[in-house]
Amino acid sequence: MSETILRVNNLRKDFTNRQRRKKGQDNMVHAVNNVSFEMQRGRTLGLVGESGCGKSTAAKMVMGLIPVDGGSIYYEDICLVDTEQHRKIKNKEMEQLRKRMQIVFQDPSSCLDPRKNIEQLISEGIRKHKICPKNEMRDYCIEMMDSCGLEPSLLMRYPHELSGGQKQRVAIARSFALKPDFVVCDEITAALDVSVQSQILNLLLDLKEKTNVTYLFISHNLEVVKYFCDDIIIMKQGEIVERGKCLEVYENPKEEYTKLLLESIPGQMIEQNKWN
Amino acid sequence: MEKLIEIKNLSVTFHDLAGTLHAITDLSYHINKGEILGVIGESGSGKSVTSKAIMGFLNPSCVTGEILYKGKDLTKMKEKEICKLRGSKISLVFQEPMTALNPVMTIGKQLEEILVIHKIGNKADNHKKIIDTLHLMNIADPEAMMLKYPFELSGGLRQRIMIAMAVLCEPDLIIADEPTTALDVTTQMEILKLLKKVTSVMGCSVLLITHDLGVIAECADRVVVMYRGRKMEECSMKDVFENAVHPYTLGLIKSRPSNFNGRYYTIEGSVESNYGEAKGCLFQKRCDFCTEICKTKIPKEKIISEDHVVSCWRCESSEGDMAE
Repeated sequence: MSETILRVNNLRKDFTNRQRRKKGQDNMVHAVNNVSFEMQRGRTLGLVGESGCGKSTAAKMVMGLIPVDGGSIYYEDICLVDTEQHRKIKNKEMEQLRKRMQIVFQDPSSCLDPRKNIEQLISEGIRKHKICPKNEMRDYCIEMMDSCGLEPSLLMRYPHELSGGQKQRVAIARSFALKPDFVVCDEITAALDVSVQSQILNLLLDLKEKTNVTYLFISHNLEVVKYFCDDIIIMKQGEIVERGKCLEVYENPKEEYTKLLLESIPGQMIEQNKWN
Repeated sequence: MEKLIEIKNLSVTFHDLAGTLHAITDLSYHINKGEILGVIGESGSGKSVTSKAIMGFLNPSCVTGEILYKGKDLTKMKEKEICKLRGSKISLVFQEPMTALNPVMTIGKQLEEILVIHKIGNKADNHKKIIDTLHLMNIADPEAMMLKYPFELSGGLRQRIMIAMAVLCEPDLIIADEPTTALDVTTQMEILKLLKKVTSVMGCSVLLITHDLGVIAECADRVVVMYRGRKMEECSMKDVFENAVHPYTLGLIKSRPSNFNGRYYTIEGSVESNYGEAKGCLFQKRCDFCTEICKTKIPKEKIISEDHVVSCWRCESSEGDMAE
């Protein structure tokens, strides 16, 4: 059952800082340093850390959106990049693979083209990858919108007419229209209200049951990660601090940094009924 | 306890192409001296509009009702009088510290500007005061900090500077409008602790606007729950989590991601717009306990205990049952 879908080995990304180079100081910032992990099909992996710890950079490298400085990434048996063997996937093949690997971004209002209506936004990827014939395009769009909890009447609307939660649903519908196996969720609930956040998370859980998709869930909200993810990786300054099964890490954090993060979740006394 | 701000029957309406938008209807609450009052609700509940009304940022023709600050009505004050209060006696901490700070001025200059405008002390005094305030914000090297520009700072430090700006003139009231939404968990905790410390050191009140119940639980003394421009429930922080009555408050508490049971709990539907006159309870469409009376009549405020006020028909009827 447990089949490895993604294998990442010693992933590295360095950024150079020009101002520091002028001063003759160490000018390398190790945004991601020696990160390795494996993902099993159908299991959600949570990537947690403060801003600047390199979790989004790691995800972007996995998706092939930015070049890799070191290490290797294998998707199923396909080599996306391997710096030791000097191998890299061809652009044409990567394009085909994008159909199976999708990403949903943090800010739905900036990732949707404001000049396209919802139908155009959702059908863009379908057209590119020829998922369905042209005359069935609209029906397929409506079907996708329906499965993401959007009314068909929104088909001709533009992103500015929708609420934050609806925009995020459009972004999710757009990704799932390509029937992906693997979806990266980059802080998708950070811009949303508490109850809308629950709605979006439930939608992701429904879609997971329906399509057996694998999520790489990036978040700094530890409360959400606790029950949403099966496995968890905690990152700090580009390196992995702790990893393990999600609930085990929450119950017995081993590293000091993990403990600090867990203590910082606001409102823990609600559950513990501790009042000062 | 002494009341610092008293809002009485405040209504704010905006007129635009689509019609009349009732942003706030008949809102009344008060802020005591030295307390942290949390205002909670989803986006579109009118939380931020209330804070703008207090600061006098709204067109006076939109606002009806009274906002009493130490007995004086802020809505009827002239612009010049309000200008004297703004920033010195009532100050605001914004959600997004990057857009609120001036990118081409050093931190020191920006902080000094406030003291110069409000004509407090001479140059040497000002400098000392800024250093002291930055010390209070747990900033390690205030002298070096004053020479920096906002882009050189991290989100948490920027928010500290915003709080330093707000407390510089020793205000009576700080309005913190979602001060931690853009921050990480660990920095969020530091900022909340800082807010608490500042209130106890300076003895000022804080109006804390947020949509995160965790933040409220961390530092508020009393809570006002708002929905579509109306007050749904007002009670002490303890009562929110133990004795909350209103279905909306209960829904918000259950929506916390830690209440996971196979699926996350949601309040069905979404916040409706406030165009036109509303009939009956505003929460009726999303409420699990909606009855006939909820659809026709707006519930009155019901006082349950000394500082616990609810407006919901469900609470009225259960009270009636008890009387029988």
